[in-house]
Amino acid sequence: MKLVAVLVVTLLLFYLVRRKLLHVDFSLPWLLAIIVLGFASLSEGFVSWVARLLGIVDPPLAVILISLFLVLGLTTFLAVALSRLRYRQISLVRHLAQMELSSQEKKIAPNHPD
Amino acid sequence: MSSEPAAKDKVLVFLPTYNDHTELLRIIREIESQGPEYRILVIDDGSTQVVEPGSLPDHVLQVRLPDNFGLGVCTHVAFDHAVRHGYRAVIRIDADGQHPVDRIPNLRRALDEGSVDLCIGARTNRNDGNDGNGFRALVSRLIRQYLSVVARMATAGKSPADINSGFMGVSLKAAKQLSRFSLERYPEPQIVVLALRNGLRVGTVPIEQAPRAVGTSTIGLSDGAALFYRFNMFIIGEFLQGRNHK
Repeated sequence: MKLVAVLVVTLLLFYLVRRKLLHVDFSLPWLLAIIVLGFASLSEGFVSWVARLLGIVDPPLAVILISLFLVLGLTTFLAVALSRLRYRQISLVRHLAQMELSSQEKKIAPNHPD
Repeated sequence: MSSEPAAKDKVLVFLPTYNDHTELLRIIREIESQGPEYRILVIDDGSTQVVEPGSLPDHVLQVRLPDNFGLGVCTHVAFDHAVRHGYRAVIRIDADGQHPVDRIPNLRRALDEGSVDLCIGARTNRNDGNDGNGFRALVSRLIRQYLSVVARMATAGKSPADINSGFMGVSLKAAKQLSRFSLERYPEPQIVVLALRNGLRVGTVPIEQAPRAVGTSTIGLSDGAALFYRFNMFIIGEFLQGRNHK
């Protein structure tokens, strides 16, 4: 059942990429998150090992901690990606405005060397 | 057009506008009456009320941004254009009718004399729509004072008392230098600090700000909080850098 759940989530990810609802560049962190959480759900040994490593007495709490780190990681990744897009958008707007204004400038002062 | 001065002899006066177009034509006429050396650029920052293309004189440069990007991007657009076409200075004046157009020559003269690279129209009064005794007025005053104190700390006491005035002029050299940075949504304090920390000379000319002729202040409480946060992040970044950008 756990394996089916992991497969369904993985297929959902591929579907989102295929339908161009999620860009392939942004799908990698999600795929990594699914792999880590899938591995944690399928292997109790892995969860126990992580719990021992972090000094957590109750192993299920390690799963919550792993999930929390993954959410933080994904949020950070998305915030960085959005910020990068914002800077690119501003750069593009500045470039377009320059093209538009240069064209107007030539009409107003046609002899002026650009 | 043969008498048209080359751009290097001209001063670019830009008017960022966001849903405050009603005073535009009057301000443009007033700027034109100050002399032939001014080229006017209207930057519509994604207004919901669109400025009709034919409503402004043909010789006025006009660009409409596809969305509301804020004054930082408007300033970048003006600086980019001035640098590309070699205007000798850039002056910003708001489109809400609060800034005294007849003080534009004072800014230009200060820049032409070469004693300053950035000249700010320092307000001797406020009339910014945030006066009064309400909670908003109190927060506004506190934020202004805080920005002023921090800016002084960041510039070894060189920054002027009024660092929030949007009425300002910059030389071509300053426009080139400031273009390298990413100016934020309310960029006035940031511009002053960046200028001083990059070895540019900053001066002021006193102005009286008229009551707002159109619209309301775009800075509400949430915008004030955002401005406060952005400025703090910017200043922390400057202190972490720990040296001038030169």
